[in-house]
Amino acid sequence: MNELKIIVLCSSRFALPAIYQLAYFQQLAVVLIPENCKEMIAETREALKATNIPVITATKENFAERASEAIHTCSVNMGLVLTFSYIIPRPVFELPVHGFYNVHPGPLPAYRGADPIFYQIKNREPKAGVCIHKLDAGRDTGPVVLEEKIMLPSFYTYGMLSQELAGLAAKLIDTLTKIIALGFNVPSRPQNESKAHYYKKQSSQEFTVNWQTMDADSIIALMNACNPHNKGAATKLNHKKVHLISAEKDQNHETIPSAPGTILFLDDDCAEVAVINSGLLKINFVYTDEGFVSAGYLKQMGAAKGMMFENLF
Amino acid sequence: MNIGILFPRSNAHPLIGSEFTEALKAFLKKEGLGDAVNIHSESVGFGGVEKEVYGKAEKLLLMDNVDILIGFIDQKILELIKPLIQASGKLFILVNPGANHSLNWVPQENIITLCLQHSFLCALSGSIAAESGGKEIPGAAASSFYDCGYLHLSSITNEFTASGGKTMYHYINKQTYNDEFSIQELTGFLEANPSVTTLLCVFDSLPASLFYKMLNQYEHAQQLQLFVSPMMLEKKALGNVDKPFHFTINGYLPWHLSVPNSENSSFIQFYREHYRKDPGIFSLLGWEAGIIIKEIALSMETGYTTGINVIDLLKTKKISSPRGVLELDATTQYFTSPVIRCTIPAGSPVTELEFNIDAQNEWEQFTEKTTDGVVSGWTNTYLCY
Repeated sequence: MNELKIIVLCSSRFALPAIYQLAYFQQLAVVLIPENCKEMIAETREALKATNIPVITATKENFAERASEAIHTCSVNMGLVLTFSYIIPRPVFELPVHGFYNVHPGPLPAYRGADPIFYQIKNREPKAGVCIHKLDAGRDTGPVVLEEKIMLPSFYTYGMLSQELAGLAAKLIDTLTKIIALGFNVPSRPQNESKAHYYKKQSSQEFTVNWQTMDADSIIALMNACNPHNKGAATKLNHKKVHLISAEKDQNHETIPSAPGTILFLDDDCAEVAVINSGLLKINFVYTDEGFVSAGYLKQMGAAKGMMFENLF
Repeated sequence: MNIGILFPRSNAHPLIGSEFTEALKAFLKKEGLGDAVNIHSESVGFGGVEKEVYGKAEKLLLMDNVDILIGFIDQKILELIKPLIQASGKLFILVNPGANHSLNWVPQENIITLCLQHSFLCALSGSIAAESGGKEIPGAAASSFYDCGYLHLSSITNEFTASGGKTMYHYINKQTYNDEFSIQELTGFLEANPSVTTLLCVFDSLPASLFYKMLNQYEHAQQLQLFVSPMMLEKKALGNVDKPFHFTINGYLPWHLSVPNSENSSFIQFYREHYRKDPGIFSLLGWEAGIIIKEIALSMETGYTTGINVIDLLKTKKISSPRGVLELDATTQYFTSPVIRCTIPAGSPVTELEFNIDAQNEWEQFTEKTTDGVVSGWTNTYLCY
């Protein structure tokens, strides 16, 4: 049996179940987190406080050097990346004798890029996945070792999917570490470049509703993809920014020809808004500068039947 | 075509591996495919030793270069060899009794499952158990220490609860299948709780026969309604007990010798002619694996290239098998088939069988549910101990 000593490079809570698991199995040697990820650093230190596993921090400028140091100091023989902010240079990922692997919260090669969780929800994928691949010099381009998908219900928020995929990631890491610990070569297959798509980091425009192009399903998907990190999908009403947090498609309505974004009904609980293709969106909760409130609160902001939501950009 | 087989070993069912591979080979030979298909076999023992299973699977895929790998292994060990199967891109046919089911129903794209659906059939039994009485019918679950390490026990109790029943007591028998076998604690509970007359029972065939024997001696046995796992309806379970039973037995079977269809008749006839015996469930699985290989062999002539291709093709087929029509469920990539409702009324020497029950809706509901919480259990293949 190979005894594994693993370095984990991570930036988000997606890594926490794997960190707990690796620490439990005494395979975790060290964790490296970018120093601007304050919450993650605190949470990881809290998780590992009963152990003597170091949690080290680094900047964009010195992370490669710090990772190399840690690999040598802690006798690391395997590396895992779980949503890390920076690209790992070859001299670093070639150091551990059992290899360096990226645990990517999206299927590959279809969802390359920094935030596949957001795009899988926004694109209304019926299934979401986690993919482990060997690191190479590219971005999410290395040979795939293991991929697994789960159902992605249409009501899933970014937070819900992140948690599920984090659990799935820990399960797949368990398989990977067993194969290496048993002394077998890790099997892999190259990615099919013809099916590759790279999603760039989102601009703020991508978090906003476009009432002229988005139907009810697309708005709901965006809303879920932006919940909780952007406090929902952003839009504008009565010159104020409003984020949609909870909404549903109303399929049992009469077709009322109205401009997209028009408020057709507003009471203390909800707002019903016209969307393209003669659709109707029933908004239940929103986020405003005043807090997380029922959509009925929009009346306090001066909203009324006939007013229109507008695009932020 | 090169086929690889990972076959199991069992002390409790010593013929499990040989009956499976014998039936597979026999079917292919009968269909004239004996020379066209080369079979490479590797034993994986009880299926619970990771290094052994991985090493054998790696050998078959990489050294023997098989086109299709059939693994008579359980869900848990499958997780370990998934990277090998994914990297190969070849078709993997998972075969087992189905006492465990997938914890994630989204399948790996080049894996299909051929099983006896035991966990699902237990869920069906749990459902009829709850429907057999009024609201919140109280029940007790009984299982062996071995059997409780597979998901079929949670399937029967969870479905019982979901359908309105209330499980009041869990009895887990010690792993002693001799004179020390006892159900005294269970009968003690039943004595003290006369309103509990519904028993959800999950035992392999040998402990099942001991369980039946003991329960038949229980003073108030005639009040009991048993809802049982498929292995408790096997000949080995029922045959060694003095009849009639004083209690009623209910459950579901994936297959029975008397299933009325031509494929089953020819299956049984072949066995009686060639081996002078009746086939059993492990032979059934081997025979059905042969039927699937034949379908694949035919599809290869029309351009089969990868595991995913052939799965897409199999999803469109209705395959005649001794069970009835086998269909590959597009969502889970499990083969499904009609099921058999089995009842042995108290005091009756006759086993009542209702064939050809379409359970597709119940299957869809079963596979829509997620398994919550932490799951633990035995790692070896069910019945391999």
